[in-house]
Formats: sequence, structure tokens, C-alpha cells
Amino acid sequence: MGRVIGIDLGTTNSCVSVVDNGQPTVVPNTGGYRTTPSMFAISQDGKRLVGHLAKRQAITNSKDTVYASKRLIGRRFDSTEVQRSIDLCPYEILRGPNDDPRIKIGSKTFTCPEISGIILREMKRVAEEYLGEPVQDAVITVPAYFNDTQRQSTKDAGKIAGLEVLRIINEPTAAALAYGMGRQNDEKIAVYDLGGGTFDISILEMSDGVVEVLATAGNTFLGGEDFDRRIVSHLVDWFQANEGIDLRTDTMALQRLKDAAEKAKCDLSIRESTEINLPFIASDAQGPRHLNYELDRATLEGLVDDIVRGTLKSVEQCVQDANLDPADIDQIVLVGGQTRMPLVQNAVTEYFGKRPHKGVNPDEVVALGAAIQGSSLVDEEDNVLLLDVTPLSLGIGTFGGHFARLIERNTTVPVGKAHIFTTTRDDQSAVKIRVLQGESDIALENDLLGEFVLSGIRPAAKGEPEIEVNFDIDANGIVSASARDLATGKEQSITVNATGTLSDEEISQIIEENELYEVELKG
Amino acid sequence: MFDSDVSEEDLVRIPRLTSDCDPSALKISPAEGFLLSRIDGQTSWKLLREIGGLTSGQVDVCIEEWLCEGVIDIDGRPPRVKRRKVAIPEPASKRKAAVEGPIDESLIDDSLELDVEVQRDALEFEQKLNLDYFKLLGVEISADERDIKRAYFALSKRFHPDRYFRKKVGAYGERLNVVFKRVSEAYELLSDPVSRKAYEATLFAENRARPTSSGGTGTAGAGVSQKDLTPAERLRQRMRLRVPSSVQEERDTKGADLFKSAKQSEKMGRLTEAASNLRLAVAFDPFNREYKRVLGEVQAKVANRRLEEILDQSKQDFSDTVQREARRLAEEILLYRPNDPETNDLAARVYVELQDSQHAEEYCSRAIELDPKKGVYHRVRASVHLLCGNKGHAVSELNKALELDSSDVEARKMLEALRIKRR
Repeated sequence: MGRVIGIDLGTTNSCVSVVDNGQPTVVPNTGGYRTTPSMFAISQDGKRLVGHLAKRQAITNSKDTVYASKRLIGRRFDSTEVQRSIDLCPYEILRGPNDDPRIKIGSKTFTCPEISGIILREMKRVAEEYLGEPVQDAVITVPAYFNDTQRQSTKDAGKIAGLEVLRIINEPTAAALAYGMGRQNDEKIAVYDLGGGTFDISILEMSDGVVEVLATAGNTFLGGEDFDRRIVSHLVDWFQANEGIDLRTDTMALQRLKDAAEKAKCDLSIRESTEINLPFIASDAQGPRHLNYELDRATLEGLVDDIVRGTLKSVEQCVQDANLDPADIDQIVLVGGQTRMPLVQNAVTEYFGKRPHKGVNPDEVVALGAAIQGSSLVDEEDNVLLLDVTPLSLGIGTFGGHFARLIERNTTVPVGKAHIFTTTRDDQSAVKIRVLQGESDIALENDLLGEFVLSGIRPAAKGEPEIEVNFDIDANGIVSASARDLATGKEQSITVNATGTLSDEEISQIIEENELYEVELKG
Repeated sequence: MFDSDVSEEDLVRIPRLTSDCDPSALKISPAEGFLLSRIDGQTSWKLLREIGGLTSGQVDVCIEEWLCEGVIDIDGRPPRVKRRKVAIPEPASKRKAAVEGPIDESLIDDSLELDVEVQRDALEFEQKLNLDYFKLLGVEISADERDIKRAYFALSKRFHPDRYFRKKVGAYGERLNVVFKRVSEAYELLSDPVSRKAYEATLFAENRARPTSSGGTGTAGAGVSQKDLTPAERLRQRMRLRVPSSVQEERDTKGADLFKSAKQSEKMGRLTEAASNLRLAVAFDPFNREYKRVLGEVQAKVANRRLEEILDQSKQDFSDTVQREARRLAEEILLYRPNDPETNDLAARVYVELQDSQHAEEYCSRAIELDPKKGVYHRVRASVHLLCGNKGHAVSELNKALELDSSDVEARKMLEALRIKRR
């Protein structure tokens, strides 16, 4: 049996790792890079480019270069997040036949799982090159706060990449696993994960070889990219005020600004101020215009302070859900590149009353944890047991537009709960059950995972039939439902229409198509 | 320790069952059933916390839940989020009796990729599934949080499906799944202090209800023998057994005190005060028929009085609100005394005022049926006819009224008025 690899499929960067002789190790690619940009492009001459190659030509070919597709995966086209991305991204986002967002690159339209699949395929290739053998099995990480559809779509992406996805695990949990490796003490830890596109906070207890998640919270549309945007906005406003030119209308200028903003942001984690130089950023009747701006740390912090405060609100919620006080936390682990920022580190220190742990690499720890979990599942030895939770409450829509919770958030998975339903009209022959995930009391405000119709109910007075519906959340955090008419004892057939995900046929077709292409390897 | 979304305002509100709710169709535990039986449209939330048989927190949770599900209604109070999961589980005795015996050795299969020891453990555990949660986790009822967590972790490491990922385990796959889910359920409940307390209470109550305890413990309240009870009362009595006796005694005393003061208020004519005290007395001692009877009487008196008041003032004030009140009270008094002619007559008069000829006709006819000698009733019927525009019938009824009671001035006046119109 082949090795299991652990893949951190990040919004901005991805990382792959494997357990080598009992040690989890990050796999670098041939260029020596330990992380790979989560980008995909089709060049002017029709070549497919992934990772660093795609990033290099992103500025000149912005229309046909995809980045941050993780912000779209598993969402509905009409959702606020997708609409926001449409405004901000240089590549085209269209409405797909399942009301899912699709991305138009070159002359082809891709689904989001497909894009993620292409990146995963690249990570698979990197691992295979390093190990010198084919790789079949993988554990892939997702933000803890991802809902069911987002998880299913990520699993589909794995399939498209030719991987058997053994488990989908939550990023903070993976980080905790990597952190806890080799540690003996019983500890309560908080994992604060601020990556490129998502924010997660998880509180875990580690003892006796068990890692138990107590609570988790987060925001799947908040990350380093938002920090970059604030800087770009600021620069654009400044340029407009001083030069009278609105750079927002110039896609290439915006790409250059985004690139420069990210570099400046990283710089300011070490230095107090940095220079942003963009010659020939624009031109008008007077000739070419250049942008020269000195950005200092204080200004940057002013621009993003509210974002950081926002994360603390989720932290507060999570600590409450775990029935703890901030002082009960023994260790804070920071994950994600954005946590390198002094403002973030100070905010976390202030909240918990202690400095965060500095011993893990925030860019790599998630992939390491994924590899650990992978080997834990397939290896013979007594390994660490992971008890993770579902981040969102699961329930159904009831009469009056209410949301009735059947499985509360932060319940350990796998879990299964049954509920008895009945009819509201005499001789009603079918019931329609809408499965929802979320925290609002109003059904409409939650995510519709799917709905099913259970038919063939024997004619009876209203309220008499007893239909037992079983809701199950597996260890991946993925939902399934089955139903049984208690009167007949038979399992009635139900169809769950998972809204927005791909059907098996669609996936097979995509796999076929992708196998016809080979990715350029020059680098 | 945990947030309560219940405000001071909420506590004085009165929950009631919704009209299309069928309490017997709900899937609730006996403890919750008892609470639900206390929701009678008269008892305030605050009082329910005291007499509901559960802790305040649990009562709040039940009420919020039932509000969300549309089982109960509270005017001016929509359902809110409940933050804590407080499971009030079925007591163990409701499940099939657990019979621990030797395991079926034929089920052990050493060709599977599952340790024989684990197989044995799983089979043994399967038998324990119906035991109470403490026994299931293998901890004492006095165990602290750490003991429970330790037990849970140890069991998880044994039975979590991940331990047997991708291994050939045959039928044990499902077995382990079921065992682990139950263990998780137990831990979820016992690790939360609130739900743990609730669970312990039901276990304790169960032990009290078992026949092995001193025979005849509270089998009859207030000197009513078994066969006199209605089915509903018998059900209530069974639920009553689930409450510890010290609590029961306290309730009985409170009920008696309230009854005494209610009778005094009644004597002094302070009917609303009497009614309110009687209601509380009934809440504390629902098996006492005497309390209920007197409550009914007093409530009837209160309603009667108010209706007469409304009729007197109908010329000055007969707004929509007053009309609604009148309608409601008319129904109420008929509930208390359906076979009393005076009550029917009063109701009929109210309906005449409300210009509801159908109901008015029904009740005035009933009044006449019950007491044909009363002239006034015919007068009322005449006014019903007038409502329908039936002058002829009105006249004949008025004549009948005067025949029976020639001193009826009102009847004479009405007759005069009609005769004039005729011309």
C-alpha cells in the first residue's frame, strides 16, 4: 500500500507533507519551494500553468489567471461572498447550471472543484517526485468553519485530482496534531488560524493520546487577502488625491498594486516602514505617472484594526462555547502567514493574557498535521485519536420559517440523531424535509444543504404517521440522511439533492477531460 | 453560569397550548410531560419554574423549545435561541430491560482484522447499551468531570471507528459505530453540568417510583381512591410519583394555605383575588377536586359579574376590545354552568348586544327549555327576533312574556314601540 500524503489546500498557498520514518516532513518541489501558490492560469499560447509559473505571469495575464478559488468553492452564485469576489477579481466568474460559480479562463469554463483539483494534482505530482513512487491516498484540510457543501466540493476536487481522500480534517485540528506531536502534558490549547482567505479559531484539549476539539468558530471569508485590499484601497485613494487619476479602472495597475501591497504588508512585520515603488503605473496627457509611497506600520495597523478586532469576536464566542475562560488556555498556537503581523500577535496576547507559542511554522504546520492524521489512520501502531466536532448546527426548516436544531454545533463527530416527523394534513402522502446548516433561528438565513421528499406514506389522519428520519454527520463532517416509515418498518427511498455540488457523471467527465492535458514543468 | 434569555417581563407571561397542538403526540420524557401538563393558560412562566418538577433552567429550555416548535404560545414573546444543549433524556427504564449474560461466542471471528479481545469487548458493551449513562461509562454517580472525561477517552480509544479504518471488521463495523455513538451521547450529557443534574434527577425519581419501595407511597392524594379517578387524573398521579416526597409535602401545604385565604376573599366579595389564589392552589395540588370545584364557582361568579357590567355600560362603551372580552366571557360562563338557565340567559343577552343572532337564539332557547316559567327569557327571545327583523314573532314572544310576568316593564315598553311602528 502506498503512502498517505497530507495536503494543506490553502487560499493563497498550498503545502504537501508526508510522514517519513515516523517524522512528518514537508515535501519541497524541484525548485526547492516548500509551498506552492494556489494559482492556475492559461497562457496566451494556450498552455496550462500551475503554482509558481502561474503566479509569475499573473500581472500580465490577469484575466486568465485564477487565484483564491477557495473563496468560491461550495458557495451559491448568488451569495454575498461570490458577488463580492466578482467585483474584486480580474478573472471572469459566471453562473453555472447548478447555480454554482464557474470561472472562465481562456476559452473554457471551469467549476471550482476542478480548479482546486488542478492544484491538488500538482501537489500530488510534487509528492510523487520526491517519494519516487505513485501516491493514491491523501488527507486534505479545510477551514474548520466550512459547511457541508464546501466539504463535499473539496472531496470532489480530490477525486478529480486522482486521489482517494481518506479524510477531510479541519485546519486548526491538523495544526494541533502537529503541535502536540511528542508532547506528554495534558493541555488546553487554542489554535488561531488566520490564513489568506479564511479565519478559524478552535479550542482543543489534549490528553491521554486523545485530541478532543471542544469548540470551533470562524469566518470563511476573512483573511490576509482582505488586509491586502485595504492597502490597495488606501494607495488608490492617495494616488487619486495627488495625481488625479483613478487606478481602479486599470486592471493591470490593480494587479501590480495588489502584488506590491502584499509585499509591503509582509515587510512591515519586520520593519517599521517600507517603500512602495511602482514606476509607470499610469499615464495621462502629461506623460507617464509613477507611484512612490512610504507606508509605515502605524498606518497599516490603522487600516486593518477592525478586521483584527473582528476575529477576536469569534474567539470570544468560541471560548464561551467551550465553557472556559481565556485564562484556562495553556497554549495559543498561531497558524497562517497573516499571524506573523505584530498587530495580530499583540491582539491575541492581550486577549488570552499570555504570549502565543512560537515553535511551529505557521505556513507548514497544517500540512504536517494532515500527514500525521493520514498515517494515524492507516498505520498499525497506537496513534493519536482525533475527536473533532461539527462547526455548524444541523436541523430542518419547520412550519413558520423557523429552524429546528437536531444536532447542535460543536457536537463530536461521527454523530447520528434521529427525529420523528409526522404529517400536517389528513391523508398527506408525502413530506418534504429541508436540511439546513447554520446558527440563525430563521430557516432562510441558514445554508440549505439539500431537501428530500419522502413519499408513499399510507393515508391516515394528520399527526398519525410516524416517520423516523436519521441525520448523520460522518468523521469528515459531511451530512447524510435516511428515513424510515415506522408503520411499515420499511426504509423508504429518499433523494437528497445536494445543491450546487457536482454529480458523479459530471466528475467522471471532468477527470477524463483533465487527463488529456499535461501541465508545463519548466521552472 | 450560562445565559438566560428569559427577562423579568417574560416571567409574568402566561404560556398556553396552541389550538392545533396535540400534547399526546409529542415525543417527550415523562418529566417534560408533567411540565407540559402544568401549562394551562393560567399559570405564569415564573410559577411554572417552581412547580414544573424540573430546575428553572430546564423549564426555561423546555418552554423555549415548545415555543419554537409551535406547541405553545406566549403573547408578545417570540421564541429565542437556546445557547446550551440541555438534553432531557428518556429514563433508562423506558428502554428494553438490560439482561446481562454471557456473550455469544459464535460471533467471535478471528479471521477478521480485529483483535479478538476487542471483539469480546464490543459484544459485552452491546449488552450494556440500555443501562444508564453512568453504568455505561463505567463511572460512579459521584464521579467528577475528570473521571468522566478519562472514562470517555479510554472508551473512545477502544471503540472509535478511526481505530479500525479500512480494516476488515465485518459486522463489527456497525457494532462499533453504535457503541461509540452511545458512548458519545453519554459523555455529551454527563459532561454538561446542567444536563447531568437533570439526568440524575430522573434517575432518582425512577428509583422512587419502583414498586420495591415502601408500598403505597402517595398513591392517593387528598383522600381520593383509585377507581374514582378519571384517566387524566390517573396519568397525573403516576407523574406525581416521580417527584420527591419532601417537595410534594411542601406543595400540599402551600396549596392548603392558598385555599384558605381564597375562601376568605370570596366571603368578602373580593372575587378576582379569590380566583387567583384558587388557581395557585390548584397548581400546587392538582388532584384536589375541591379546589377545582370552588375555583370553577368563583370564576363563574367573576365572569358573570363582569358581563353584567359590560351590558350595563354597552351604550357608553362597546369598543372592539370590550366586545372580544364579552364574547370570551360568555363562552367561559357556559363552560362552567352549561345547564343553568340564568347563565344561558345572560349569554343570550350578551350575544344580542353583540348582534350575533345565531348564538343568541341558541342560548335563549336553552334558557327557556330549562325554565319555561320565566317571563324574562321570552323577552330576550323577542329581542333576538328583532335582530333578525322578525317583528311578528317578536310581538308574540313579548305577549308570552307578559303573560308569565305582567310586571315586566321592559317587555311592555318594547311592545308599545312595536305597535307604534306597525301603524
